[in-house]
Amino acid sequence: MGETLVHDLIEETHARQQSRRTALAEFRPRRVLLLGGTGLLLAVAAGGTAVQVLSTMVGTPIRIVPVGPVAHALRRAAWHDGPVLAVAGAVAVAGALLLLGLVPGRPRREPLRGTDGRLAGGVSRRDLRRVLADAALDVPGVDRARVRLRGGFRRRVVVRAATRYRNPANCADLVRQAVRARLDGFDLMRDRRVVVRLSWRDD
Amino acid sequence: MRLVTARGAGDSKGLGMRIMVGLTGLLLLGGGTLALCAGFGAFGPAAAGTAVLSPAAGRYIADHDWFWPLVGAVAEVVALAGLVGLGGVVRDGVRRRRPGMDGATRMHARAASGDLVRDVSRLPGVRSVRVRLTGTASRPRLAVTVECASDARPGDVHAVLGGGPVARFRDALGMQTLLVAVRYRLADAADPLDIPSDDDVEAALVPHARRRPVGDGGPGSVTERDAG
Repeated sequence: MGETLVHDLIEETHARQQSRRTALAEFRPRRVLLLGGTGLLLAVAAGGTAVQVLSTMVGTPIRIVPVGPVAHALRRAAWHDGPVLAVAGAVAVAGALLLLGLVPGRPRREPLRGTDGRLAGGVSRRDLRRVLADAALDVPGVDRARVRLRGGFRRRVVVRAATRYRNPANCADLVRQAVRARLDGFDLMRDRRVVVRLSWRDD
Repeated sequence: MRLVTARGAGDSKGLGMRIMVGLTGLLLLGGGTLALCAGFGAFGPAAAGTAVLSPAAGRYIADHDWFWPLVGAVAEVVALAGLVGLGGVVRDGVRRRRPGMDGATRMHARAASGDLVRDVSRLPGVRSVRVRLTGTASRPRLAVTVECASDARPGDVHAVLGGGPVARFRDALGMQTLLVAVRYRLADAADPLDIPSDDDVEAALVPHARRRPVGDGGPGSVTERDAG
Protein backbone atom coordinates (compact mmCIF):
# COMPACT_ATOMS: atom_id res chain seq x y z
CA MET A 1 0.00 0.00 0.00
CA GLY A 2 2.85 2.34 0.90
CA GLU A 3 4.56 1.55 -2.37
CA THR A 4 1.39 2.35 -4.29
CA LEU A 5 1.08 5.68 -2.50
CA VAL A 6 4.67 6.60 -3.37
CA HIS A 7 4.12 5.57 -6.98
CA ASP A 8 0.97 7.66 -7.15
CA LEU A 9 2.77 10.67 -5.73
CA ILE A 10 5.67 10.31 -8.16
CA GLU A 11 3.33 9.90 -11.10
CA GLU A 12 1.30 12.91 -10.09
CA THR A 13 4.39 15.08 -9.66
CA HIS A 14 5.75 13.89 -12.98
CA ALA A 15 2.45 14.58 -14.70
CA ARG A 16 2.33 18.10 -13.24
CA GLN A 17 5.86 18.83 -14.44
CA GLN A 18 5.08 17.42 -17.86
CA SER A 19 1.88 19.45 -18.00
CA ARG A 20 3.81 22.59 -17.13
CA ARG A 21 6.37 21.93 -19.87
CA THR A 22 3.65 21.19 -22.41
CA ALA A 23 1.71 24.34 -21.57
CA LEU A 24 4.77 26.58 -21.70
CA ALA A 25 5.85 25.04 -25.03
CA GLU A 26 2.35 25.39 -26.45
CA PHE A 27 1.86 29.03 -25.49
CA ARG A 28 5.43 30.20 -26.03
CA PRO A 29 5.77 32.88 -28.74
CA ARG A 30 6.46 31.20 -32.08
CA ARG A 31 8.66 33.96 -33.56
CA VAL A 32 7.46 32.90 -36.98
CA LEU A 33 8.28 36.25 -38.59
CA LEU A 34 11.79 36.28 -37.16
CA LEU A 35 12.58 32.70 -38.16
CA GLY A 36 10.89 32.86 -41.55
CA GLY A 37 12.28 36.28 -42.38
CA THR A 38 15.82 35.25 -41.51
CA GLY A 39 15.48 32.07 -43.57
CA LEU A 40 14.18 34.04 -46.54
CA LEU A 41 16.95 36.63 -46.21
CA LEU A 42 19.64 33.96 -46.00
CA ALA A 43 18.22 32.11 -48.97
CA VAL A 44 18.04 35.25 -51.13
CA ALA A 45 21.39 36.75 -50.13
CA ALA A 46 23.41 33.53 -50.16
CA GLY A 47 21.61 32.26 -53.25
CA GLY A 48 22.39 35.47 -55.12
CA THR A 49 26.02 35.28 -54.05
CA ALA A 50 26.29 31.66 -55.15
CA VAL A 51 24.69 32.40 -58.52
CA GLN A 52 27.00 35.34 -59.18
CA VAL A 53 30.18 33.55 -58.08
CA LEU A 54 29.49 30.25 -59.82
CA SER A 55 28.26 31.88 -63.05
CA THR A 56 31.42 34.00 -63.15
CA MET A 57 33.54 30.87 -62.63
CA VAL A 58 31.95 29.02 -65.56
CA GLY A 59 32.41 32.04 -67.81
CA THR A 60 28.83 33.32 -68.16
CA PRO A 61 28.63 35.93 -65.40
CA ILE A 62 25.24 36.99 -64.10
CA ARG A 63 25.62 40.45 -62.56
CA ILE A 64 23.23 40.73 -59.65
CA VAL A 65 25.44 43.23 -57.80
CA PRO A 66 27.94 45.37 -59.78
CA VAL A 67 31.23 44.08 -58.38
CA GLY A 68 33.50 46.75 -59.87
CA PRO A 69 31.96 49.85 -58.24
CA VAL A 70 31.53 48.07 -54.89
CA ALA A 71 35.14 46.87 -54.81
CA HIS A 72 36.31 50.33 -55.83
CA ALA A 73 34.33 51.94 -53.01
CA LEU A 74 35.66 49.44 -50.48
CA ARG A 75 39.26 50.12 -51.61
CA ARG A 76 38.75 53.86 -51.07
CA ALA A 77 36.96 53.61 -47.71
CA ALA A 78 38.92 53.27 -44.45
CA TRP A 79 37.67 51.56 -41.28
CA HIS A 80 37.36 54.89 -39.42
CA ASP A 81 35.14 56.49 -42.06
CA GLY A 82 31.67 57.49 -40.94
CA PRO A 83 29.66 55.35 -43.42
CA VAL A 84 31.76 52.28 -42.61
CA LEU A 85 31.20 52.79 -38.88
CA ALA A 86 27.48 53.28 -39.46
CA VAL A 87 27.19 50.06 -41.47
CA ALA A 88 29.27 48.17 -38.87
CA GLY A 89 27.02 49.48 -36.09
CA ALA A 90 23.90 48.51 -38.00
CA VAL A 91 25.25 45.01 -38.60
CA ALA A 92 26.12 44.59 -34.89
CA VAL A 93 22.67 45.83 -33.83
CA ALA A 94 20.97 43.47 -36.30
CA GLY A 95 22.96 40.55 -34.88
CA ALA A 96 22.08 41.52 -31.33
CA LEU A 97 18.40 41.80 -32.24
CA LEU A 98 18.46 38.36 -33.84
CA LEU A 99 19.98 36.88 -30.70
CA LEU A 100 17.50 38.72 -28.48
CA GLY A 101 14.67 37.38 -30.62
CA LEU A 102 15.67 33.84 -29.70
CA VAL A 103 15.16 34.43 -25.98
CA PRO A 104 11.96 32.62 -24.95
CA GLY A 105 9.42 35.35 -24.40
CA ARG A 106 6.40 35.66 -22.17
CA PRO A 107 3.73 33.03 -22.93
CA ARG A 108 0.91 34.40 -25.04
CA ARG A 109 -1.58 32.94 -22.58
CA GLU A 110 -1.53 32.35 -18.88
CA PRO A 111 -1.34 28.57 -18.52
CA LEU A 112 -3.75 26.76 -16.20
CA ARG A 113 -2.71 24.05 -13.78
CA GLY A 114 -3.23 20.50 -14.97
CA THR A 115 -2.29 16.92 -14.24
CA ASP A 116 -2.32 15.60 -17.80
CA GLY A 117 1.06 15.82 -19.47
CA ARG A 118 -0.52 16.14 -22.91
CA LEU A 119 -3.13 18.73 -22.04
CA ALA A 120 -2.38 22.44 -22.07
CA GLY A 121 -4.90 25.10 -21.18
CA GLY A 122 -4.52 28.84 -21.15
CA VAL A 123 -6.44 32.05 -20.84
CA SER A 124 -5.45 35.25 -22.57
CA ARG A 125 -3.91 37.96 -20.43
CA ARG A 126 -6.46 40.46 -21.73
CA ASP A 127 -9.39 38.30 -20.63
CA LEU A 128 -7.74 37.70 -17.28
CA ARG A 129 -7.16 41.41 -16.69
CA ARG A 130 -10.72 42.27 -17.69
CA VAL A 131 -12.31 39.64 -15.46
CA LEU A 132 -10.15 40.62 -12.48
CA ALA A 133 -11.02 44.27 -13.03
CA ASP A 134 -14.72 43.31 -13.06
CA ALA A 135 -14.20 41.50 -9.75
CA ALA A 136 -12.65 44.63 -8.26
CA LEU A 137 -15.51 46.77 -9.56
CA ASP A 138 -18.01 44.49 -7.83
CA VAL A 139 -16.73 45.74 -4.46
CA PRO A 140 -19.13 48.43 -3.16
CA GLY A 141 -17.68 51.91 -3.50
CA VAL A 142 -15.10 51.09 -6.16
CA ASP A 143 -15.60 53.32 -9.21
CA ARG A 144 -12.60 52.53 -11.34
CA ALA A 145 -10.24 49.58 -11.49
CA ARG A 146 -7.36 48.77 -13.75
CA VAL A 147 -5.43 45.52 -13.57
CA ARG A 148 -1.90 44.83 -14.74
CA LEU A 149 -0.07 41.50 -14.70
CA ARG A 150 3.48 42.17 -13.62
CA GLY A 151 6.72 40.37 -12.99
CA GLY A 152 8.65 37.55 -14.63
CA PHE A 153 9.87 36.00 -11.39
CA ARG A 154 7.89 37.76 -8.64
CA ARG A 155 4.59 37.45 -10.42
CA ARG A 156 1.82 39.62 -9.19
CA VAL A 157 -1.49 41.16 -10.13
CA VAL A 158 -1.41 44.90 -9.60
CA VAL A 159 -4.88 46.41 -9.12
CA ARG A 160 -5.21 50.19 -9.26
CA ALA A 161 -8.63 51.02 -7.89
CA ALA A 162 -10.34 54.29 -7.06
CA THR A 163 -13.23 54.87 -4.70
CA ARG A 164 -15.49 57.86 -4.32
CA TYR A 165 -15.50 57.50 -0.53
CA ARG A 166 -13.49 59.93 1.55
CA ASN A 167 -12.74 57.25 4.10
CA PRO A 168 -11.82 54.02 2.30
CA ALA A 169 -11.70 51.94 5.52
CA ASN A 170 -11.02 48.32 4.50
CA CYS A 171 -11.88 48.85 0.84
CA ALA A 172 -8.39 47.78 -0.26
CA ASP A 173 -8.73 44.52 1.65
CA LEU A 174 -12.13 43.87 0.11
CA VAL A 175 -10.74 44.48 -3.37
CA ARG A 176 -7.83 42.17 -2.63
CA GLN A 177 -10.15 39.44 -1.40
CA ALA A 178 -12.46 39.79 -4.39
CA VAL A 179 -9.60 39.67 -6.89
CA ARG A 180 -7.96 36.80 -5.01
CA ALA A 181 -11.18 34.78 -5.06
CA ARG A 182 -11.64 35.39 -8.78
CA LEU A 183 -8.00 34.54 -9.46
CA ASP A 184 -8.36 31.25 -7.57
CA GLY A 185 -11.13 30.32 -10.01
CA PHE A 186 -8.55 30.24 -12.79
CA ASP A 187 -6.14 27.93 -10.95
CA LEU A 188 -3.17 29.42 -12.77
CA MET A 189 -0.09 27.28 -13.14
CA ARG A 190 2.11 30.16 -12.02
CA ASP A 191 0.38 31.71 -9.05
CA ARG A 192 0.37 35.47 -8.61
CA ARG A 193 0.31 37.72 -5.57
CA VAL A 194 -2.40 40.38 -5.51
CA VAL A 195 -1.25 43.95 -4.89
CA VAL A 196 -3.92 46.65 -4.49
CA ARG A 197 -3.21 50.36 -4.84
CA LEU A 198 -6.28 52.27 -3.82
CA SER A 199 -6.91 55.98 -4.28
CA TRP A 200 -9.77 57.90 -2.66
CA ARG A 201 -11.21 61.39 -2.39
CA ASP A 202 -9.35 63.76 -0.12
CA ASP A 203 -11.25 66.99 -0.79
CA MET B 1 4.84 1.76 -12.55
CA ARG B 2 5.03 3.42 -15.93
CA LEU B 3 5.91 7.03 -16.37
CA VAL B 4 4.86 8.28 -19.74
CA THR B 5 7.46 10.65 -21.11
CA ALA B 6 5.93 12.51 -23.97
CA ARG B 7 7.55 15.36 -25.77
CA GLY B 8 5.49 18.43 -26.45
CA ALA B 9 4.52 19.06 -30.02
CA GLY B 10 6.56 22.22 -30.12
CA ASP B 11 9.71 20.81 -28.53
CA SER B 12 11.78 20.35 -31.64
CA LYS B 13 9.80 22.54 -33.98
CA GLY B 14 12.03 25.05 -35.66
CA LEU B 15 15.05 23.97 -33.64
CA GLY B 16 17.26 23.85 -36.74
CA MET B 17 16.03 27.25 -37.82
CA ARG B 18 16.65 28.64 -34.35
CA ILE B 19 20.23 27.36 -34.46
CA MET B 20 20.69 28.96 -37.86
CA VAL B 21 19.27 32.28 -36.67
CA GLY B 22 21.52 32.11 -33.62
CA LEU B 23 24.62 31.49 -35.73
CA THR B 24 23.64 34.31 -38.09
CA GLY B 25 23.13 36.64 -35.15
CA LEU B 26 26.48 35.69 -33.63
CA LEU B 27 28.23 36.19 -36.97
CA LEU B 28 26.64 39.60 -37.53
CA LEU B 29 27.27 40.75 -33.96
CA GLY B 30 30.87 39.54 -34.01
CA GLY B 31 31.64 41.01 -37.42
CA GLY B 32 30.00 44.33 -36.66
CA THR B 33 31.73 44.60 -33.29
CA LEU B 34 35.14 43.80 -34.80
CA ALA B 35 34.60 46.39 -37.53
CA LEU B 36 33.58 48.99 -34.93
CA CYS B 37 36.67 48.16 -32.84
CA ALA B 38 38.88 48.53 -35.91
CA GLY B 39 37.23 51.82 -36.83
CA PHE B 40 37.57 53.30 -33.35
CA GLY B 41 41.26 52.36 -33.16
CA ALA B 42 41.14 49.39 -30.80
CA PHE B 43 43.65 47.60 -33.03
CA GLY B 44 45.85 50.69 -33.42
CA PRO B 45 45.60 53.89 -35.46
CA ALA B 46 47.25 52.25 -38.46
CA ALA B 47 44.53 49.61 -38.68
CA ALA B 48 41.83 52.28 -38.38
CA GLY B 49 43.21 54.10 -41.43
CA THR B 50 43.53 50.96 -43.54
CA ALA B 51 41.18 50.51 -46.49
CA VAL B 52 38.32 48.08 -45.91
CA LEU B 53 39.40 46.10 -48.99
CA SER B 54 43.15 46.44 -48.58
CA PRO B 55 45.66 45.60 -51.32
CA ALA B 56 46.92 42.72 -49.16
CA ALA B 57 43.43 41.18 -49.15
CA GLY B 58 43.19 41.60 -52.92
CA ARG B 59 46.54 39.87 -53.38
CA TYR B 60 45.49 37.03 -51.06
CA ILE B 61 42.35 36.41 -53.10
CA ALA B 62 44.25 36.56 -56.37
CA ASP B 63 46.95 34.16 -55.15
CA HIS B 64 44.59 31.42 -53.98
CA ASP B 65 42.58 29.67 -56.66
CA TRP B 66 40.32 27.90 -54.16
CA PHE B 67 38.97 31.15 -52.70
CA TRP B 68 36.03 31.81 -55.05
CA PRO B 69 34.96 28.14 -55.38
CA LEU B 70 34.89 27.96 -51.59
CA VAL B 71 32.84 31.16 -51.39
CA GLY B 72 30.40 29.75 -53.95
CA ALA B 73 30.09 26.42 -52.13
CA VAL B 74 29.54 28.05 -48.72
CA ALA B 75 26.96 30.41 -50.22
CA GLU B 76 25.11 27.49 -51.77
CA VAL B 77 25.03 25.58 -48.50
CA VAL B 78 23.78 28.64 -46.60
CA ALA B 79 21.10 29.33 -49.22
CA LEU B 80 19.95 25.72 -49.09
CA ALA B 81 19.84 25.81 -45.29
CA GLY B 82 17.83 29.03 -45.41
CA LEU B 83 15.34 27.49 -47.84
CA VAL B 84 14.97 24.33 -45.76
CA GLY B 85 14.49 26.38 -42.61
CA LEU B 86 11.92 28.61 -44.27
CA GLY B 87 10.07 25.55 -45.54
CA GLY B 88 10.07 24.08 -42.03
CA VAL B 89 8.64 27.27 -40.54
CA VAL B 90 5.89 27.41 -43.16
CA ARG B 91 5.13 23.70 -42.77
CA ASP B 92 4.89 24.01 -38.97
CA GLY B 93 2.58 26.99 -39.35
CA VAL B 94 0.31 25.05 -41.72
CA ARG B 95 0.36 21.94 -39.52
CA ARG B 96 -0.82 23.98 -36.55
CA ARG B 97 -3.92 24.94 -38.47
CA ARG B 98 -4.72 22.07 -40.78
CA PRO B 99 -4.66 18.30 -40.30
CA GLY B 100 -2.05 16.29 -42.13
CA MET B 101 -3.73 12.91 -41.62
CA ASP B 102 -5.59 10.41 -43.73
CA GLY B 103 -9.32 10.69 -44.30
CA ALA B 104 -10.26 7.76 -42.05
CA THR B 105 -8.54 9.31 -39.04
CA ARG B 106 -10.19 12.63 -39.69
CA MET B 107 -13.57 10.94 -40.01
CA HIS B 108 -13.06 9.13 -36.69
CA ALA B 109 -12.01 12.40 -35.10
CA ARG B 110 -15.10 14.13 -36.42
CA ALA B 111 -17.31 11.42 -34.99
CA ALA B 112 -15.54 11.38 -31.62
CA SER B 113 -15.48 15.15 -31.31
CA GLY B 114 -19.27 15.16 -30.88
CA ASP B 115 -18.97 13.45 -27.51
CA LEU B 116 -16.15 15.74 -26.48
CA VAL B 117 -18.11 18.86 -27.41
CA ARG B 118 -21.19 17.56 -25.62
CA ASP B 119 -19.25 16.68 -22.46
CA VAL B 120 -17.55 20.05 -22.28
CA SER B 121 -20.68 22.02 -23.16
CA ARG B 122 -22.44 20.55 -20.11
CA LEU B 123 -19.85 21.95 -17.72
CA PRO B 124 -20.98 24.96 -15.69
CA GLY B 125 -20.19 28.30 -17.27
CA VAL B 126 -19.34 26.88 -20.70
CA ARG B 127 -21.22 28.50 -23.57
CA SER B 128 -19.71 27.01 -26.66
CA VAL B 129 -16.90 24.72 -27.71
CA ARG B 130 -14.95 24.48 -30.93
CA VAL B 131 -12.52 21.67 -31.69
CA ARG B 132 -10.10 21.31 -34.55
CA LEU B 133 -7.79 18.39 -35.21
CA THR B 134 -4.40 19.52 -36.53
CA GLY B 135 -0.86 18.17 -36.73
CA THR B 136 0.35 14.96 -38.29
CA ALA B 137 -0.22 11.29 -37.57
CA SER B 138 3.00 11.17 -35.57
CA ARG B 139 2.30 14.45 -33.77
CA PRO B 140 -1.44 14.90 -33.58
CA ARG B 141 -2.82 17.99 -31.90
CA LEU B 142 -6.35 18.96 -30.97
CA ALA B 143 -7.03 22.67 -30.68
CA VAL B 144 -10.03 23.34 -28.45
CA THR B 145 -11.57 26.76 -27.91
CA VAL B 146 -13.92 27.02 -24.95
CA GLU B 147 -16.09 30.12 -24.69
CA CYS B 148 -17.08 30.70 -21.08
CA ALA B 149 -19.42 33.06 -19.30
CA SER B 150 -17.79 36.03 -17.62
CA ASP B 151 -18.27 34.49 -14.17
CA ALA B 152 -17.10 30.98 -15.11
CA ARG B 153 -14.24 29.21 -13.35
CA PRO B 154 -11.87 28.02 -16.12
CA GLY B 155 -9.74 26.18 -13.56
CA ASP B 156 -12.63 23.89 -12.69
CA VAL B 157 -13.52 23.37 -16.36
CA HIS B 158 -9.91 22.52 -17.13
CA ALA B 159 -9.70 20.03 -14.27
CA VAL B 160 -12.85 18.22 -15.44
CA LEU B 161 -11.69 18.33 -19.05
CA GLY B 162 -8.40 16.64 -18.17
CA GLY B 163 -10.16 14.08 -16.03
CA GLY B 164 -12.48 12.39 -18.51
CA PRO B 165 -13.49 13.89 -21.86
CA VAL B 166 -9.98 14.23 -23.24
CA ALA B 167 -8.99 10.71 -22.18
CA ARG B 168 -12.16 9.32 -23.81
CA PHE B 169 -11.41 11.24 -27.02
CA ARG B 170 -7.90 9.81 -27.10
CA ASP B 171 -9.21 6.30 -26.51
CA ALA B 172 -11.80 6.72 -29.26
CA LEU B 173 -9.12 7.74 -31.73
CA GLY B 174 -6.47 5.37 -30.42
CA MET B 175 -4.08 8.30 -30.15
CA GLN B 176 -2.64 8.29 -26.67
CA THR B 177 -0.03 10.89 -27.64
CA LEU B 178 -2.63 13.40 -28.79
CA LEU B 179 -1.71 16.86 -27.54
CA VAL B 180 -4.75 18.89 -26.53
CA ALA B 181 -4.38 22.67 -26.42
CA VAL B 182 -7.34 24.45 -24.85
CA ARG B 183 -7.92 28.16 -25.17
CA TYR B 184 -10.40 29.63 -22.73
CA ARG B 185 -12.21 32.79 -23.70
CA LEU B 186 -14.32 34.67 -21.23
CA ALA B 187 -17.28 36.72 -22.31
CA ASP B 188 -17.25 40.40 -21.54
CA ALA B 189 -19.98 41.12 -19.01
CA ALA B 190 -20.17 44.73 -20.19
CA ASP B 191 -20.47 43.85 -23.87
CA PRO B 192 -24.01 44.69 -25.06
CA LEU B 193 -23.60 42.34 -28.01
CA ASP B 194 -22.75 39.42 -25.76
CA ILE B 195 -25.80 37.18 -25.87
CA PRO B 196 -26.16 34.80 -22.92
CA SER B 197 -27.06 31.20 -23.55
CA ASP B 198 -30.60 29.89 -23.08
CA ASP B 199 -29.57 28.12 -19.88
CA ASP B 200 -28.16 31.34 -18.42
CA VAL B 201 -31.33 33.24 -19.25
CA GLU B 202 -33.50 30.53 -17.73
CA ALA B 203 -31.35 30.37 -14.61
CA ALA B 204 -31.60 34.14 -14.20
CA LEU B 205 -35.39 34.16 -14.65
CA VAL B 206 -36.20 31.14 -12.51
CA PRO B 207 -33.26 30.74 -10.14
CA HIS B 208 -34.46 27.78 -8.07
CA ALA B 209 -36.50 25.87 -10.62
CA ARG B 210 -35.92 22.18 -11.09
CA ARG B 211 -34.52 21.51 -14.50
CA ARG B 212 -34.73 18.59 -16.80
CA PRO B 213 -31.31 17.33 -17.90
CA VAL B 214 -30.47 18.40 -21.41
CA GLY B 215 -30.61 15.40 -23.73
CA ASP B 216 -28.48 14.71 -26.76
CA GLY B 217 -30.87 16.40 -29.13
CA GLY B 218 -31.97 19.08 -26.72
CA PRO B 219 -31.36 22.78 -26.95
CA GLY B 220 -27.86 22.86 -25.52
CA SER B 221 -25.10 25.38 -25.99
CA VAL B 222 -24.07 26.59 -29.38
CA THR B 223 -21.35 24.28 -30.62
CA GLU B 224 -19.24 24.07 -33.66
CA ARG B 225 -17.09 21.22 -34.75
CA ASP B 226 -14.30 21.22 -37.23
CA ALA B 227 -12.40 18.04 -36.45
CA GLY B 228 -10.70 17.23 -39.67
